[in-house]
Amino acid sequence: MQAFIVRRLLAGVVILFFLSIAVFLVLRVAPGDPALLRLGPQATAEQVAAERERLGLNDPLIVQYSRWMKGILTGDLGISNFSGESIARSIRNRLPNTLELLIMTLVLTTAIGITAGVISAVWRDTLLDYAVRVVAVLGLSVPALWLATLVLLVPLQVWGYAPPIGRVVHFFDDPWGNLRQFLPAAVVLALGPAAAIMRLTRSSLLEVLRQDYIRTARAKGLGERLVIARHALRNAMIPPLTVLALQFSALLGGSVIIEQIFTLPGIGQYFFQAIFVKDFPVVQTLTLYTGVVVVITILALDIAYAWLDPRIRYR
Amino acid sequence: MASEYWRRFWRRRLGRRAFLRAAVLGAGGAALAGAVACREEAPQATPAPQAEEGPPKRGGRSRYATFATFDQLDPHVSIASAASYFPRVYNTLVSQSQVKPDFFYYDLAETLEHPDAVTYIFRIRPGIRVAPNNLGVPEREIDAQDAYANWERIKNEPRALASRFSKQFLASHAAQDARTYVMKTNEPYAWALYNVGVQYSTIAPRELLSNADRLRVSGAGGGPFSFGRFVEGEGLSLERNPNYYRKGQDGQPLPYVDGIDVLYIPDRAARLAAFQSRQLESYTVVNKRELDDLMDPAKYYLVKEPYFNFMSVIMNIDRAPFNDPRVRRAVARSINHQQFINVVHLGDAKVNGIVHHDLVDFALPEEELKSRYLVYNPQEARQLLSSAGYPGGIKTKMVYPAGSGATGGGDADQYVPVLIENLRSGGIEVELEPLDIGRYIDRVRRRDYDTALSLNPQYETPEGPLDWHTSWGYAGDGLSFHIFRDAEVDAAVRRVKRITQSVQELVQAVRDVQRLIYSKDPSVIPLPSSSSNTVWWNFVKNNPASLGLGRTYLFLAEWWLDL
Repeated sequence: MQAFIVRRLLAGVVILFFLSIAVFLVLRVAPGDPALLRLGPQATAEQVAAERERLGLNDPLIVQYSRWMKGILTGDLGISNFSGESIARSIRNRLPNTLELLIMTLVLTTAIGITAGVISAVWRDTLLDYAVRVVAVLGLSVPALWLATLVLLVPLQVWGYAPPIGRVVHFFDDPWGNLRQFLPAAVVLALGPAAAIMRLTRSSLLEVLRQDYIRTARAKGLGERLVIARHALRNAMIPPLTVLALQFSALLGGSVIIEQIFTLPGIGQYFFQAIFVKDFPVVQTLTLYTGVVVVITILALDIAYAWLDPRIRYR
Repeated sequence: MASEYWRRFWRRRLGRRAFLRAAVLGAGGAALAGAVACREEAPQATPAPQAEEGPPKRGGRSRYATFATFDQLDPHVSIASAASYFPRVYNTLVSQSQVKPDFFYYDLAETLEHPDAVTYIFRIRPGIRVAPNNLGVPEREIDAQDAYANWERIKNEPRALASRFSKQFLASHAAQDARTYVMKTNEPYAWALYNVGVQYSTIAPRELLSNADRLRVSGAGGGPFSFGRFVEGEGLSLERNPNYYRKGQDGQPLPYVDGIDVLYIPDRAARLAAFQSRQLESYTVVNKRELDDLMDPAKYYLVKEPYFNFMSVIMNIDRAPFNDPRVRRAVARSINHQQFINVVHLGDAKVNGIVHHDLVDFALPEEELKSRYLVYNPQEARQLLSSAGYPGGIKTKMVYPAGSGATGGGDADQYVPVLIENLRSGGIEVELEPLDIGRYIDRVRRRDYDTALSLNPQYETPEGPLDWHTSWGYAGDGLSFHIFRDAEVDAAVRRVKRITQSVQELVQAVRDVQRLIYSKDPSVIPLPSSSSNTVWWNFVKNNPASLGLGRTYLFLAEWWLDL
C-alpha cells in the first residue's frame, strides 16, 4: 500500500508539471493582451509597452515559466497583475469561505442523498420510492444557475426576505447570520449531487441486498435495520463515494457560478475574475492548486476504497 | 403598468417633496447661472444644496453596490471601481462638471485664476486637515506642496491615468508658497481643468506617496471620509472624517452619515435582492421594463443621471469599401436610430450624434441630428452603393464584444439583431464575429477588422468622441483602434482643443466641428443610448445625485439617512 501511495504521488507530480506547462502556454497563446485589458483602449502604445514590461510579459516564455515555477517551489505564489495583491494572501482570505461552503454542501449532499437512496431502496416500488425518484430527477435536471436565482428572488417577492448579501458574515461573529448567508448557496449546490448520490445509493444497495451474504445475515435472524446498516450499506458505498469525492475536489476549487450569484468571495469567484482580466499569475496558480486538489482527492479515494472493501488490494 | 407608473410618478412630483426637490434644482440652476455670469470671478466656495425636508439627521451608514471589483486604492493608478470613491477620501483642486461645464466645485482650491490661456493659479483653501489615521500621516493641513507632490507623481508614474495629460500638456507646475499652486500647460488646452479635477487626479497627503504599497490598500486625506476596511474581492468601507472642513446648511459638520460600505455584488439578481431588502440604498436598473416593474413611489424615487457610454458602428477606413465616403454614407443611411430606441431601449433613449447627448450643450440638437445626419433612407443607401460600384450591395464582417455592455449603452448582443436588419435594408449583408472582450480589444487594437460594433469607454468630455475622427485617434498616438484621416477635421479639432477662455465659444466650436465631420461622412456612427436610471430608497435624503452633475455629485457630502 505504501509503495502504491508513493507511486501515485510521483505520478501526481508529473501530472502537475504537465498541467503547469499546459496552462502557462494556453494563457499566452490565447488572444488578448493583459496589459491592454488592464489599461483599457484609451491607453497609449507607450503606456501599454511600459505595462507589458512591468508585468514581465516581454521576457522569453522560458524565463517567465521559470520565474513562476521558482516562486511556486519556494512558496511564493506571486502577485496579481490586476490588483497587485499577494495571491497567497487572497487565497488565504477566500479559502475559509470556499471551505465553509464545501463542508455545508457535502454534509447536505451526504445526508440527503444517502438517506433518500436508502429509503428508496428499502421501500422500493412503493409510493415513497416513486416520490423520492421524482424529486431526484428534478434535482438532476434543474440548472444550479436558475435555481440559485429563484432561491434569491422568490423569498424576496413572497416575504420580502433576502439573505445577507455583499459582506461575509463570519460564523464566530454571528452564527445565525452566517447560516443565513451560506445555507441557501449550499442547498443549491447540494441538490444536484444529492440526487445523483440518491440514485447511485439506491441501485448499489438494491444490488447488494440481493447478495448471498445478506440472505445469510437475515437467515441468522439479524434485524432488517442491522442487516442494512452493518452489512449492506458499507458495501454499497463505493459508487456514491466516488461522486462525493469528485464533488469535493470540484468544490475545493470553488464554485464559480454560485459564489458569484450569492456574492461569496471564495476561490471560484477569484478564478472567474482572474480569467476575465487575463490575470496570468492568478489563473496559473489557481489551476495548479485545483490540480493538486484533484490529485490528492483521487489518491484519498483509492485509499478509501480499500478501507470500505477489504477485498480491494493495491500493489 | 407603465402608464400607471407614469401617472403616479407625475402626481408624486406635484407633492411637497417634489416641490422642495424642484426648489433644490432651481437653486442649483441659479448657482449655475451665477457661475456663468461670474466666470471671470469664480465663486469662493460651492454652496451646499438645500435639504429636502426636515432638519438633517446624523448617523447611519450608506450602503452601495459595485458590480466590478476593486483592484487597489492607489488614487492615481486604480482602474476599477475604487476610483469612484477617491473624491470622497482625498481632495481635488477644483472639479468641473461634465454636463454643466460652467459649474465648478471648489474643493482644495478656494479660488482659481486663469490669467492667460495656459496658466492656472490655484489658491489653496486653509483649514483642510488630514483625517485621523494610523498610517503615520499627521492631522495637518493640506497645502500647495501636496498638490505639487501629487502632480509630480502623476507625471512620473507611467501607469497614472492622468499621465497622458501630464506628459502631453503639463509644461510646468510649482508650489509658489504654502497657499499657491501654479500649473502651466505648454499650449492652451480646453480640458485641462477636467483633467485636474477628475477622480484619478485627487490630492493625497504627500507622506502617503512615498509608500506605494500602503497607498494601494489604505488612505486618508482631507475628504469627507477616509478608507476603512478593504477586503479584496469583498468591498471596502469608508469612515467619516471628523476633520472635514465643510458644513451643512444647518451649520453642522459634514458628512452626516457615519460611513459608507461599498459592497462588491457582481450578480444583478443579488443586487436587486439586496436593494429590495434594504441592504442597499440604490439600484441601477437595466432598462425601462425593469424600472416599470420595480418602481414604487411609496418606497423609492428615481434619479436619472448622465451616462457617458454608448455603442457605435465603426468602419475601418484602411480597408475597402469603407475608404469610399459613399459607402460610409450608405451605412449611415441604413441605420434606423429610432428602431434602436424602440427595441433596445424600449423608448427610453435618445439619438447620439458624434458627441453623445448626455454631454448636453456640446451635443448637436436632437432635431438637427434627426433631420440632417441620422436620416434612415435605405433606398438612398442602395443608390449610394450602386454609384460606388456595388450595385448588388456589399458584404462585410463585423466584430463585436459578445456579452459586453453597459447600463446606458445597452448590451452589444441586443443591438446586433436590429443592426443586421437595418444594414440589410440598405443592401449591406453582415457576417458577425462575436468575440470575448479580450480578443475583441486585441483585434480592434491591431485594426484587424472591417467593421465593428464598438463598446466605447466613458467619454466625460467631447474630447474623446472628437478624437475618434482624427488622425491621432482616441489614444492620441495614431495607434488607436480607429482613426480618420482628414486634414481639415484635424485642424478643426485642434482649434477646439485650444479654446480655454470661454465656455460658450467652446460649446459652439464643438458643435461646428461635428457638422464638419458629418460633411466628411464619418466612419464612426454612435448609436442611441439612455441615461442611467437609478432607483433610491426614500430614506436617502438630499441626494446630490439629483443635481444632475455627473460624477461631480460624488464630491458632495450633504446627503443624510432618515432611518
